[in-house]
Amino acid sequence: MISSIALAVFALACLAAVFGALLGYSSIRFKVKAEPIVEELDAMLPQTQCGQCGYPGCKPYAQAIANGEDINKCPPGGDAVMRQLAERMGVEPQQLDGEEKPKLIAFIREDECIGCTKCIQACPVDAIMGATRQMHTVITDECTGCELCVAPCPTDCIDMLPIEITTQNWQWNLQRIPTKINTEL
Amino acid sequence: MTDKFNLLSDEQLANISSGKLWNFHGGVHPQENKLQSNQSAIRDAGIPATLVIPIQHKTHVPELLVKVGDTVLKGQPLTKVYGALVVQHASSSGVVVAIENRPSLHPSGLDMLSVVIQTDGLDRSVEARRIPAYQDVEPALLIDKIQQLGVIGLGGAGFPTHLKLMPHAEIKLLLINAAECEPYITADDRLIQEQAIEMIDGINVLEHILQPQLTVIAIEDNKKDAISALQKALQNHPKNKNIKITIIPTIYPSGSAKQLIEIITGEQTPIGHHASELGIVMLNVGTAVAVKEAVIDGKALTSRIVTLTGDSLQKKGNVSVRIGTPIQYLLDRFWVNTNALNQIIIGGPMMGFTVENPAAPVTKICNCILAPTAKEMPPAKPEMPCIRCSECAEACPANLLPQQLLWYSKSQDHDKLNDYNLSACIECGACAYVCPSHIPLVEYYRIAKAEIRTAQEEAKKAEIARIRHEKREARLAQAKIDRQAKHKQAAEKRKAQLKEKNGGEDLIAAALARAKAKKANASETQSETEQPVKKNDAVAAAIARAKAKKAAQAGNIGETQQSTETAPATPKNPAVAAAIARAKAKKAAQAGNIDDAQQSTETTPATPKNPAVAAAIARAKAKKAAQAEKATASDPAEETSTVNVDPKKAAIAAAVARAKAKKAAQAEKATASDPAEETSTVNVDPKKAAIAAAVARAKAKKAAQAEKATASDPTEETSTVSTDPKKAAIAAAIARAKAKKAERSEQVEKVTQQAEPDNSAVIAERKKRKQQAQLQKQQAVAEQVTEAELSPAEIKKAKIAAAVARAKAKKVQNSVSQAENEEQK
Amino acid sequence: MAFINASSPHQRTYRSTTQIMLWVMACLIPGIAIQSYFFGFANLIQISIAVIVALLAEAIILKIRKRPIINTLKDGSALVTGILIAIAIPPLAPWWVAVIGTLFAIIFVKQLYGGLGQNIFNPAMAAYVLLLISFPVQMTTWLPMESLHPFSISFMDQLNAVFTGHTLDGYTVSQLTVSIDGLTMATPLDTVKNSLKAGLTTTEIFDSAIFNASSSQAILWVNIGFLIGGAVLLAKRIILWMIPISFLAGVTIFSFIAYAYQPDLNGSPMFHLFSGATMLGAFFILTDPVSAATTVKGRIIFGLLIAFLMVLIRNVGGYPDAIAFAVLLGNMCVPLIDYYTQPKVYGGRA
Ligand code: SF4
Ligand code: SF4
Repeated sequence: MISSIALAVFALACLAAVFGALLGYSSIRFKVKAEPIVEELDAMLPQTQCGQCGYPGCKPYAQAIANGEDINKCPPGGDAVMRQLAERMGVEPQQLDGEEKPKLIAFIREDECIGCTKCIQACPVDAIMGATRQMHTVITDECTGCELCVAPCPTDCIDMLPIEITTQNWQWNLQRIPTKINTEL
Repeated sequence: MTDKFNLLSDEQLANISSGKLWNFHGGVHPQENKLQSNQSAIRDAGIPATLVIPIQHKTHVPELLVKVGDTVLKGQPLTKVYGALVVQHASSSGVVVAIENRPSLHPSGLDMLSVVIQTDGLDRSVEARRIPAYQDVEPALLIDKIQQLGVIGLGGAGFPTHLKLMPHAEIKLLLINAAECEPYITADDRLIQEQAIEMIDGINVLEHILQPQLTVIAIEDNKKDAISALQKALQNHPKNKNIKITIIPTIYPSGSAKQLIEIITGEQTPIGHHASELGIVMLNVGTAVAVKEAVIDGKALTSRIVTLTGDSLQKKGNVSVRIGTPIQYLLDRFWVNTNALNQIIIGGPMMGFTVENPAAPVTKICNCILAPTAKEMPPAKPEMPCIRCSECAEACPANLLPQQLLWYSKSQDHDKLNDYNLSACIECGACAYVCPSHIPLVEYYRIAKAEIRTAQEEAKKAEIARIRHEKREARLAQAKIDRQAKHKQAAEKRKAQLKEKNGGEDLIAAALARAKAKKANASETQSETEQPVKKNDAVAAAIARAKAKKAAQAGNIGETQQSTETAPATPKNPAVAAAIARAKAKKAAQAGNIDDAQQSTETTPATPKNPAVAAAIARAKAKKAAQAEKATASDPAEETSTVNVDPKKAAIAAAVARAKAKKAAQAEKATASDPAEETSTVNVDPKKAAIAAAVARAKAKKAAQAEKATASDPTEETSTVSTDPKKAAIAAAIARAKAKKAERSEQVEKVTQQAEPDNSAVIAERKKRKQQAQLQKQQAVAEQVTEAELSPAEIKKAKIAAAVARAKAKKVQNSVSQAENEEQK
Repeated sequence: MAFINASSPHQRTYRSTTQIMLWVMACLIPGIAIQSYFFGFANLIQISIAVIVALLAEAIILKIRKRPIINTLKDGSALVTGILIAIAIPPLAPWWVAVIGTLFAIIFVKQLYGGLGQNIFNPAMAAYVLLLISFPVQMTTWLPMESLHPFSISFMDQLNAVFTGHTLDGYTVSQLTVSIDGLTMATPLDTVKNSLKAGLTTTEIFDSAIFNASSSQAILWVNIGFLIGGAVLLAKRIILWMIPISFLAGVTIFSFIAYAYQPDLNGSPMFHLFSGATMLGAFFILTDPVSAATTVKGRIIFGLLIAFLMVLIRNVGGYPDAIAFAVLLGNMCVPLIDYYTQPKVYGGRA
C-alpha cells in the first residue's frame, strides 16, 4: 500500500520534473525576441504624422499607446491599424475615433501660390518644395495626406485630392466581375 | 545572385539537346479549339481610319517626338527612349490629330495617353536602315537598335526584348517558345508555318547577340504543320546545327516561361530569380521574327499577328494587325455577330482579360481577340464553398495549394499567403479551371496580390515618411540649438564690445546692481539714498512721480503713498508731509468718513503748532482706509500753503508715515523712483521743487481721466494767483462746480499758487492751459456759476469751501449728491 | 456597346460539386444493393429516413443562418451524409437512431462549424460514434443473413420493426436477431471480439458455427460491393487514389504485422480488409474531401494513420468496429498533417 503510494508520488514527481525541464527549455529556446513595444507600435502606425491622434506625430502616439492611451485615435490608419494595435496591446478593438477617409494627397494650385513658405513649415515630412516668394509644390510621392498644410495657407490654394488611379495602382476587385457568391467563406 | 553553379551544366545541355523532357507538376487539358483559326493563311487587317497608339506605360510617359498636326510615316518614332521602355512608332502614314487619353487595352480599361493618327491610306514608310551583315556589328548596337525599333515580347507579357538580350550571366540556352498552350490561339502556329525562314533568321540574330551554346525551339505536339515547316526551314539552313526542335506534349500551361523551362531543362527558376541566372533566355517565336525584321530589315515593330476567333466572328483566322487598330474595326471587318457577342477576351480563354470598350486599340501584347458566344463561354456559375477537394492543388503547375491560398486570400492574411508562396502563382487559371465549386480562384489571388503590393508600398512609404519626419524633427531641434548658440554668441560679443568701450567696466551690470542695491536699501536707510545727488534729479523725480501716478491710477495705492512720502523727507518742506497725511485722511474719508476728513483739513490750518498731531491723525486714517485709487499726487504742494509746521515734528511724522507706506508699498516702479525723488527733494531749493511739483502735477492731470476738469484748472489758477482772497473763493467755487461736473479733478492747483507764487510754476501751468484751450466754453459756464455765489464769500470760508470741494473731488467715485450735502455745511 | 467583364479563366470544366456528390451516391449503389440482398430492404428504409431528415435539417439551418437554401441543398453533400449514416447503422435499428444521428451530423458537426467545407470532422462518422456510445444495444443488433432467418421477414415486417420495434407478427427485433440455431447475431467483428474474450483463438472462431452464422459472408460481399463502387470513383477521378490506396495498404500491412505477431489473437489481413466498414471507409468516408488532408503526402499519411488506428482499435480496443473512431482521430490530425506536408512550390525552397 505504502509502496504503491510512494510509487505514484515518485512517478508524478518525475513527470513534473520532466515537463518542467521541457517548459523551461522551450521558453528559452523558442523565446520570441521582444522588439521594444514602442517601435513595434510605431511600425504599425501609418506614419502620416498628421497629429489627428492628438500627439505631434506617430511615434509620440505609439509611445502614448504603450503607456495606456486608447488605440482608436488614428483615423488615417483606419480599422485595420486599430485592430493591429488592439491585438498587440491585448485590448478589445474599439470604434475608431474619427472617420476613415480614403487617402488624399495635397496639391498646390500653383498659380495661386504666393510663396509664403507657411505650408513648408507645416509639412511634417518635408514633402513641399519651394522658397520664399517662389511657387511651392508638393512632392506627391512623399505626401502622407496629413492635411497639416491646408490650414496655414493664406490663399487657400492647397487642395486635398484623391490619388489618381492609373494602371499602376489599379486594383483588381472581385465586384468588377459579376460573380455571385452564395455562401460565406 | 548570379552564382555560376546555377547555370546549366554541359551534361544538362547534352540531355536537353538529346530531346529529353521533364514534367511539371499539374497542368490541365482544356479543349483546344485551335482548328477554327489555324486553317487559313494570315491576312492583312487593312488600315483603319484612325490609329490609337498608346504611349504611356503605367505612370511613365515618355517624351513625345510628334505634335498634333504633324504628318507621320509608317515606322516613324513617336516617342523618345524613356528608361527601359521601347520607342513607339506610327504604324501607318497619316496625320497626328490628337494626343490625348484614350481607353487602353488593359483589364482596368483606364484611359492612357495615346497618339491618335488619322491615316491617309497610303501607308508610306520611313526609309529602313537595314543591317544585312549583322554578324559584323557589335551586339550592343544591335540591342540598341532593337530597343529603338520597339521590339517587345510578343507572347503576351510584353517584356522589352532588349532587356532580355542584356543578361547578367553567361547564356547557355536560348529557348524559343512556340508552345502556344492557350486554347484558341494560333498566331504563333500560323506564323511558324508561314515565316519559318524569317524566324530562323531572327534566331540567328539572337544567337549572334547572346552566343548561347544551344538553341531549342519548343513546340507542342498538336502543331503538326508548324513542326514540319520548321524542320524544313532548318534543313535549308545547314549551318544551324545548334538549333534543336523539341516537341513537347500538349498540356496547359506548358507555354508559361517557368513551366517550359522545367519541361525542357528539368530546372526550376528559383522564386524571385530570373531565368537568365540559370543561363537561359526565352523568347517567343513572334519576337524572333520581329527581331529579324528590326535588325536585318530595319523595320520597326508596327504590326503583329492577332488570332481573331470565337463563334461570334464569322471569319475566323489570323490577321496581321497594325498596332493601334481599334478592336471595333477588326470586329466589323471580320463580321462579328453583334447579337451573339457578349464578351471580348484579349488573349486566350485561360489567362486573357476582358475589355468592356471595343474602342480600345490592339497593342503589341494582344495575341488574340476572342469573341465567344454566350454558349461558348457561359458566364461563371455561382460560386460554391470550397470543399477542399484538392483538384486545384493537383492542377497547379506551380505546385501551390490553391485552396489554402483561397482561404488566406479571403481572410487577407498576408503573412500566411507569403508562407504559402502566393507570389509563385503565375495566374495560369488551371486551378480555377478545375475547381468544382466554380470559385474564381485566380481573381482572388490577383486581388490578394494587389493588396499585398499596396500594403508593401504603403509600408515602404510609411517608412520613408517616418524617416523624413524624424530627420525633420532632428533638423528643427538642431536649428533651435544653433539659434540659441548664435544668440548667446551675439550677446557675448556685444558685452565684450561694451566692456572695451567703457574701459573694462560693465556699465549695465553696474547700473543694474545699483538699482537693486537702491531697492534693497530704500526701506532701511533713507539717509544713505539721499547722498548720491545730482542736479538734474528734480526732473527725473518728477517724471518718476508722474509715472507713479499713472501706475497709481491702475490701482496702486502703495505707490501714491510713497510719492507722498518723498516730500516729507525734506526737512524744509514739512508742510508737504502734513499734506500727505491729509491726503491720506481724505482718502480715508472717501471710504466713508467724510466728516473726519473735513475736520482734519480744517484742523491742520487752524493749529499750525500741532501739525504733527494732524499728521498723525491723518496717518491713522490713512491706515484705516488706504485703498482709494486717486492718490492725491497734487496734495503735497497744497499743504505748503496751509501748514506752518514745526519742522522737526513734521519730519518725524513724515518719517513714520514713510516707513508705513513702504511697508505697504508693492509697486516696484514706485519704489524705484522713490529714492531719486527723495534725493531731489532733499537738496533742491524750493524753486526747483516747485517746478518739479508742477511738472508732476501736469502729468497727473494728463493722466487724470477727466480732461475737462483738468483743462479748466490752469485758468483757474492763473486767475487766483493775481486775485485777492475773494477771487480765491470764486476759484474755489468754480472748482467745486467743476468737481461736481467732472467728478474727478484734483483741486491742487489753487493751493499750489498760494504756496509757491513762483513764475515758473505759472509758466508750466500756462503751457497746459494753452494746450487745452478748447475747453474754455466750459470755463465760462463755470464762472457764471461762481459769480452767483461770490458775494458772501470770505477768505476763510473760501478756503474751507475749497477744501470741501477738494474733498468732494476726491470722493468723485461716490455719489454727487453726497458731495453737495457737504458743501452746504 | 459594353461587354461583360469576367475573370480568367473563361473556360472551365463542367464538373461541379453537385456532380461529384451524385457520382459518390451512384457508386454507393452496388454496396447498398448487396446489403439489401443479404439483410432485406430495411437499409433502404433507413436511408430514406436519414436523407429526409438530413435535407430538412440542412434547409432549416440554412434558413436560420440566412443562406441560400436551394443552391446549397443542390450540392448534395447533406444527401451523401445522410446515406452514409444510414448505411452505417444496423438496418433494423429503431427509426429515431437514424434521426438523431443525422440531426447531429448536419446540425452540430457540419453547420455549426460553418457549413460545407468548414467542418473538421466527418459528419457521418461523428454521428456514428455518437450513436454507438449513446445506444450501444441498438447499434450492434444486426440481423442474420436472410437465409439464416428463422422466420421469413417481409419488407413490411422490417418497416414495422424500424418504426415500432415489432414485426407484423409481433416479434421483437432482438428476437429477429436470433438465428435458427438460437444464437444471437452480431457482425463478424463483434463475434470475433466476444469469442476472443471467451478465450477462443481466431482459428477456432473462424471455424465456429457462430462466426459462420454471423453473416460474415454477407459482410464480405457488401465490402466487395463498396470496393466496386470505389473503383468507379477512382476511375472517374472523383476521388484521388492517395487516401484509399494508402489506407487499404495500411490496413493490410498493420493487420499483417499483428497477425504475424499473434495469429491466435488477431484477424488476418483479409479478414480486416473485408469485414466491418473497411471498404466503405476507404472509398466513401475517408475520402470526404472536407475533413481529409489536402496535400498528396498528407493524404497518404492520413490514410496510413487511420489504417493504423483502425487495426489497433479492432485488435486491442474495446469497440468492435473502429473505423469511425479512427477517422475522427485522423480528422483531428489533418491541420497538422497539412501544415507539415506542404509540397515544394515551383522554384521554392525544398
Ligand atoms: S493560377 Fe496560380 S494557383 Fe492557380 S493553378 Fe495557376 S499557378 Fe497554381
Ligand atoms: S478545386 Fe475548388 S473546391 Fe477543390 S479544393 Fe480547390 S478551391 Fe476548393
